[in-house]
Amino acid sequence: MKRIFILLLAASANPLWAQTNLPAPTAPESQVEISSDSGHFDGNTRQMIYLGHVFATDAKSKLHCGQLTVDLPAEGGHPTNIVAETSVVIDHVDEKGQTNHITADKAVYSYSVVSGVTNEVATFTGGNPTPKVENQQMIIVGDPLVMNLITKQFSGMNYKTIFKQAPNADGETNASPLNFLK
Amino acid sequence: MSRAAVKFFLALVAGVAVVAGAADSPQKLPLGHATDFTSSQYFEPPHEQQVKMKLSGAEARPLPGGLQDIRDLKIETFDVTGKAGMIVRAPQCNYSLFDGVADSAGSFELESGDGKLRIEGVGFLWRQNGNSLIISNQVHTVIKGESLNLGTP
Repeated sequence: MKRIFILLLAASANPLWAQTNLPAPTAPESQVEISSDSGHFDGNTRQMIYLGHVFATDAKSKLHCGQLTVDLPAEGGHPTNIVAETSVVIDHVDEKGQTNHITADKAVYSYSVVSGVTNEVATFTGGNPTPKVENQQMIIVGDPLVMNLITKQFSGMNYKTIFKQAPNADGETNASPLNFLK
Repeated sequence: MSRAAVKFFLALVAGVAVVAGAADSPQKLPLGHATDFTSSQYFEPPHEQQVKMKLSGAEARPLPGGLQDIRDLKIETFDVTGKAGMIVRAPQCNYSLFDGVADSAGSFELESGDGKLRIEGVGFLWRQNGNSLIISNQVHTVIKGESLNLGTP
């Protein structure tokens, strides 16, 4: 969950003298869309709360939850705290094109810069029965399950990684390398 | 916009003082009806020449209870340098002169001055003194130039 809401500077200046018959291809500007049943913005605390059937998407990720709270710093810029609550489900397509499915009761994203060092952490708690990250290769569980978004390292209490067996050409799974223990 | 135009609408909506505490200093209510109006509020000194908020509409009709029925509402906010902050639009809303509350069952949209943030919804309640906005239904936010980019392993 690296760099939620990172500002991407989009340079879109096209000089007038550089006219061609076909427009130069430009990368589509990234954007996040958030929809919900209702919402509340408190200008004093600079907190936006989305309530009911919250659905947030960008080009690679989908987040679904019951409530999403975003704290915006007074001076603008990067949100310092984002909390997703109630049946949190995240699907993210990573750089390898692999879908990562994350489930938890609550996900807390925090961002801070201390002495020039950026700290960016996502903490997942609760779930059925615990937070879970699952992709084709593995399942990661723990409660809380903490992901350092800078180092991309998971940690947590009762932390466990379960590697899945890949099916062979016949569609069967290979024998476990631990079978000699039987 | 001239100061005279400002004063015209200020007379109409009785010195709404769009941002700063209308509830603290309730004004006499207007009895008239206005079209294509604009009202501006300025910063406190030393930036008293800078517009803080501009409120405009196609039509304003007085309603009982100190309410104004405003059509094609547009509210623009600015910082002390004149840079646009937010733009709020609503086809219709009721505005209470006493307590500085605007509400509507209709559509609503808010856009940041740089165009990067846009919030739409249906039905809203805005309390200017509490500086809060409640959107009742169908909230949809678009944040341009941003990404969820969940960097899972």
